[in-house]
Amino acid sequence: MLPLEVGGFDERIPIYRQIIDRFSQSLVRGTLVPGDRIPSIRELAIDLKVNANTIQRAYQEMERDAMIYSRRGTGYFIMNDNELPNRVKGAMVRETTSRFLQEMYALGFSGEDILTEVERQMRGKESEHDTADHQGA
Amino acid sequence: MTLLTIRGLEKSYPGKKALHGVDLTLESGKIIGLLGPNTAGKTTLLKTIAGLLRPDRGEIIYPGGAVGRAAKGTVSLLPDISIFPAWMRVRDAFAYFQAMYPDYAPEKAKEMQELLGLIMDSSIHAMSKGMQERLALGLTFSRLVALYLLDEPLGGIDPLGKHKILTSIVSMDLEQSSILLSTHLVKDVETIFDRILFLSEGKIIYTGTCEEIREQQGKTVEQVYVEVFDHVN
Amino acid sequence: MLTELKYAARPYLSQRVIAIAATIVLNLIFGLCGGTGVYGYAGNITAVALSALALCAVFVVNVIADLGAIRTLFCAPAGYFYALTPQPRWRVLLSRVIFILVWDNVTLYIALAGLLVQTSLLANASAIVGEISNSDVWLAVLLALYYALVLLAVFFAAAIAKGPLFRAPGRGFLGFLVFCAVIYAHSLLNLVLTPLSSASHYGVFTTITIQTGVNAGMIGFLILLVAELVALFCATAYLMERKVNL
Repeated sequence: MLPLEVGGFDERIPIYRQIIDRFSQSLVRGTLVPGDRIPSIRELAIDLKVNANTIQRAYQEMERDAMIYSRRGTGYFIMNDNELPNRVKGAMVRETTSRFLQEMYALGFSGEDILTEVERQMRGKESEHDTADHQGA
Repeated sequence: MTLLTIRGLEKSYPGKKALHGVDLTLESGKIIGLLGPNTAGKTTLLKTIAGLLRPDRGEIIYPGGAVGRAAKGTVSLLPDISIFPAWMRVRDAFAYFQAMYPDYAPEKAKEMQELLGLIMDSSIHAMSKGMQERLALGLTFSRLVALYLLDEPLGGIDPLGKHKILTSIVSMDLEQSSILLSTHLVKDVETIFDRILFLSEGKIIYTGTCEEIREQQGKTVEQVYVEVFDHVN
Repeated sequence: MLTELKYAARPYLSQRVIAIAATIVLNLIFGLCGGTGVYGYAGNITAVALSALALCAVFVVNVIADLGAIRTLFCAPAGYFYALTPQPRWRVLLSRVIFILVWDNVTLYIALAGLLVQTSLLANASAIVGEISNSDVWLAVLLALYYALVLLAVFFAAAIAKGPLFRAPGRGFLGFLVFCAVIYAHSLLNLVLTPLSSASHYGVFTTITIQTGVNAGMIGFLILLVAELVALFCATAYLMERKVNL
């Protein structure tokens, strides 16, 4: 079972980056944990129907970022670093927020507008959560 | 490592000039897309590289500098037409390939048969277009050569066939080899190319690396294709 | 090479079976007619004419089989294999020619074998033939010309019709004509050298055999075979060298 989202790449953005993102997402969600074995370059190429060179580039970058490591003869693994998921989460939050802010500013919203709306929605989601918890209990 | 060099390639048919001076270089370890409309000359170019057609002018330098018949041992062509008599079964086709090509590798053939879901006892005349294409691709990939030339492997194929064909293409171990794939359906194959060549009226009018196009232009290959070919007309 | 030939030959199996059956039947017809002619030649022009027609039919069948085979080997789709294989040129030439010779000239060989048997039999029967007159020889020449004309008519009819079986590999009527000329030349050689149909033919060759002790039929057969091989090699090599557009 591939612990990654399959298909549906945005072909306007470099594919190798999207692959790294998907690994990040899996780490954050917990579907991949430090020490897990990940597919070989060829296996992933076949599963995603993506050029193996692209996969290789993604793996090289992830190795450079100490997200994964390779053991010759055995394959590739998520780095045995318990801090990794948090690190990745932190980077993801920063990046997603940065992108969000860029979009919002581009649409012409002010910082105040953004904060107000964010707080409003967060309160709404929290009450949804509470309702769900009560129903569960 | 440079695999293939073509300089000033020209080819005419009676009443029509198909290639107007094609220049290109292919490096090893890559999947390269040859894109263009139907009349661009893609099939002519692939057939000329394969040695089925003789160019009127220009030169082709084959992998390792091979010439003549030896050059044919450096390329494996998937033609745009079905080349097997209808009476054959899949096993007959593989046996025939084995007899005709010294570079045929039985282990590779077996791997391809599994990847592409080929059944040895199926009769070719009873197979759908998609299945026939899968058989033809499996045979093409059963030869251990430097350059694989695939002429429109996805045209008119059902989704399962497309899936299996694309899967087997990306599964190829391309250390010393490359694949040159021609198609006019850009959308299906965006993620499998390293590089693309646009062929228009017998000339290469654009070449680029796919990831660079995405990084620098933020566009899909299909979008670039539309832009480039729109300019031509 | 065996696998190659086995698979390349398969599609023409039914045609070849028909060709062989036709040859045997036709051989019997002209054999009988020819035989009758030898023993009672004077005025037996019907027998001669019938066997001439029978012979013609044999060669037409043979040529059709040849053309079909050559088309298989040079044109798409099967021709792709021979064009794309990295096997050395001599090997490809050899397998193509062997294919044509072995598989598509079976009819011819049966006809020739028939001739050989008949000539030998006739040569061994001592009290047969009388004097060979000039008119016999002229008749033989006329018959050869007659066969030639029929074959030529068949070729041109096919060229005009441009049916798939007769469409020459590559484009251009000129290529087709050269191709036809080579096949036609070797067929003509068959006709001139092979005393198959007419009483006078039997007479001439039988006389030679009796007089010289050398089996003229056998020699004719060998000359024919060599001519056929040469013609086929030339035709195949030419087609391989030509800028063939498949």
